[in-house]
Amino acid sequence: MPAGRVLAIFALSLLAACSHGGDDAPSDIPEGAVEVREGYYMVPVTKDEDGCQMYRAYAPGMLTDQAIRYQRADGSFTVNKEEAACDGRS
Amino acid sequence: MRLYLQLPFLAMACVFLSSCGGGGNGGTSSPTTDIPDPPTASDPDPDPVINYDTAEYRRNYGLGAVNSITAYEAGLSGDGVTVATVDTGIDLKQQDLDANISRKSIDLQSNTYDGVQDEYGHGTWVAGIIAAEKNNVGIHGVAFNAQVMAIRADKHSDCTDGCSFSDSDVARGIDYAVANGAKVINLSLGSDRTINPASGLGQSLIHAVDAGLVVVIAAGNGDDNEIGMAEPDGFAQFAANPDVKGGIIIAGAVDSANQMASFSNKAGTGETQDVYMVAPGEHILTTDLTTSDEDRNQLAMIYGTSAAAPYIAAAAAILLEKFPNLDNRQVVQILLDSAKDLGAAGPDEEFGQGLLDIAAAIQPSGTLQISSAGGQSMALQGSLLTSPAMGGGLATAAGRALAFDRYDRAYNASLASRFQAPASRFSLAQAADRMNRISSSLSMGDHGLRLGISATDTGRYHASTSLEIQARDGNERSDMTIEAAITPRLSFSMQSGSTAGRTAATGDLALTARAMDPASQLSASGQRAGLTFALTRHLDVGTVAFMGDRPKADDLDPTLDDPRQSGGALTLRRWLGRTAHLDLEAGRMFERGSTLGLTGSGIFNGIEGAATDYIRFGGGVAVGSLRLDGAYMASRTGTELNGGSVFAGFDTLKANGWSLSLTDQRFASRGHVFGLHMAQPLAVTSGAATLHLATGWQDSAPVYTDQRADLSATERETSFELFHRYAASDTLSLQTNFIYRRNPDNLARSGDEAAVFLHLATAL
Repeated sequence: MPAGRVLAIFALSLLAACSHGGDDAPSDIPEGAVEVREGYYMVPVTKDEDGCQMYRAYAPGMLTDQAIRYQRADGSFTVNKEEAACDGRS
Repeated sequence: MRLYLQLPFLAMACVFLSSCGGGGNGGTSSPTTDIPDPPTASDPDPDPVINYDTAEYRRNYGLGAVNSITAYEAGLSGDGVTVATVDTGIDLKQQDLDANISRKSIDLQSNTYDGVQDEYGHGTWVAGIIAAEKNNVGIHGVAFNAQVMAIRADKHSDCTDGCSFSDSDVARGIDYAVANGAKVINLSLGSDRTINPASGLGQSLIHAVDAGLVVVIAAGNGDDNEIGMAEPDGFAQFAANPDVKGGIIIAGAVDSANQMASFSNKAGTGETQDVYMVAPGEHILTTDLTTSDEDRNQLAMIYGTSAAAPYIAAAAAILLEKFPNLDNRQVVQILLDSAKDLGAAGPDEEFGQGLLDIAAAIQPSGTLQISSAGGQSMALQGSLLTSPAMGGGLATAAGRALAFDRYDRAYNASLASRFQAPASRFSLAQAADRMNRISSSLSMGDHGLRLGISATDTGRYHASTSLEIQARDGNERSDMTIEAAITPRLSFSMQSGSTAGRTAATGDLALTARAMDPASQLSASGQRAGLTFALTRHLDVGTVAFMGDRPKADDLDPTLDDPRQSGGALTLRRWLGRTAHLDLEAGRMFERGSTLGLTGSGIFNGIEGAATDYIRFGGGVAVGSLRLDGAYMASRTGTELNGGSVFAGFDTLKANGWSLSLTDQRFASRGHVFGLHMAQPLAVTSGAATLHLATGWQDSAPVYTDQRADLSATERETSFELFHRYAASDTLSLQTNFIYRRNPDNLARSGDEAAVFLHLATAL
């Protein structure tokens, strides 16, 4: 096997390992997850008693805080339900 | 032959019993354990003036939901305990937190204190739930005087809408907390991934638990589509790993109605259920990032198991403040065991062990134990039945000691509440019963045989019948009298050289039933048998044997044995002419299970017995129709212990008593008999018990001291009786007895007693 190919496989392996950052293989991105930025998602959980959609943070291979988020009208997320775009109860 | 029928008037109108201000067995109380206080060495002073139910308190409904106010009222607030948060840091400017931020807080990336400044807010929210200050601003935390060691572990990269944390950074944060004195670590973090115990994060968690830290991990905010909500998320499941199980709590979230939060991962069916509990996690008001230097009291409303975990972490801090001797596994077990059951009865798949209950967590678990003087551990139970001779003496003893629950947590226990007042050794009701009898007898004049049958209805005490056989021959000293009564209290008395005629008058006095020997002083019932010989014309010698039963203790403490007394004495009577005499009686009384009537059960059940030596001086003189009798008794009691109680020893107990009687057989005019009786019954004048008790706390170990409990009666009973009998004819007489007892049973708190007996007798 050419040395260049070996080097490339090794580099790819390293890259893959680094991207995990954890002990086990990263989970697949949950269905419906909204990507907030690279490697960081908001995953819909359930709707609250007002019918407002709740989200949890998700980052493959990483730990995230366990605060519930709501989505604002502009698409960003907040923990403050008052700022959430829940009018449509979507 | 005459048939003599005695009809006591008692049943008609005769008994007027009144108790001036109480009476009976007053002062009896059920043993109780005090509301527990922390060990004295770390004992914060509860301040009853402080009102903890403030607006600041009510803004955070979760404080009430977990019963935190009980801890505050006990002086607890997490003071002196550091809780580490591995999170996004903390807002250093937040006015509601700044005093409670540990100087050891650190940003792991810059390795500085200043770098800990929270840029997203999550760490500040968590910190506020743990330890926001009680300062009438905003809200206050569960442990509002705890220190928060904020360990910032996020990447300082883009934290838009939330930060993420690498396993290695969280592991570093945990290691830092362990190395810098934190007692509790809060991890309001989660991941779908399970943690390998061999990984860096796994090893750090194992190390933290091994180092004695309590770790609380959020259960996770699940979604049905992916990881599911039926069990904690992958990260939290590490709490069930055998290497750490018992040192980590998984925190699920409930709403304000204690319903499972719709987003919260549940306890599951496996090992996680054992270490899972819930706390408020919906609609939680907490501290937020400050927006300006002018407004440093921002608040945020958050949801999530992120909010539930710090409730439990703060509760752990309160427990550790109160009981610094607890290890982390004990703290975890106490919090889980004391949780309020929610959902299905007992631990369940949803709520696990239940809802955090701080008030229950600080209460003793299991039966409190106390150490005996011999070093054995004993359940804190039982009571000490104080003696009438000691009155309220023991009640004045401090009687406070530390007792320990199953986790070796120390609680202040009041032993004084286990001291029970003596049963009345002389009951006016009993006296009434004694006189309330219908008796009949056959008598063949002054010279001959008297046969009597009596039926006594003594109400609650017992019913008895007796047969009396009496052979008499006038009032001469050479007479012989034999009396026997067949009753449940079998008695036999035989006197040779009887003096019955000389002392008959005092037989009409109810109080004279309390003969001047220790057994009858201390017993509710007893038997006394004597044998007397006229050695010379002027000297009688005799012996007396007696037995007695302690007042039945069933009403006081069913576990108490019924101690018994028995003994004997030698008597001498020196006649001075035909109408006066001097008496001397010297005897010894043995007790089983008591000392001068003092007896106990449980932790006080260590009195093997006692021996009392007593001496009694007395005398009587008759002048015409008047007769005066008096006696004085003094005693010394030595006590033997069996080592199985808190008693370390007893002093020699010294006691004394006296009585004086005056009768007039022809008071005012023929047919009237008058009597007056005064007495101070037996009372301890000196002596103390020594109790070996844990009274302090030093270096996580109890300090034992010997406490002296004075057994001297603090008040003395003085009793009076007036007696009058009027013989209207040979066949009809009316007798009146008035009795007054001041400080009955040497107890002022019993209230004085007074009674009047009317006794109508007729002869057929």
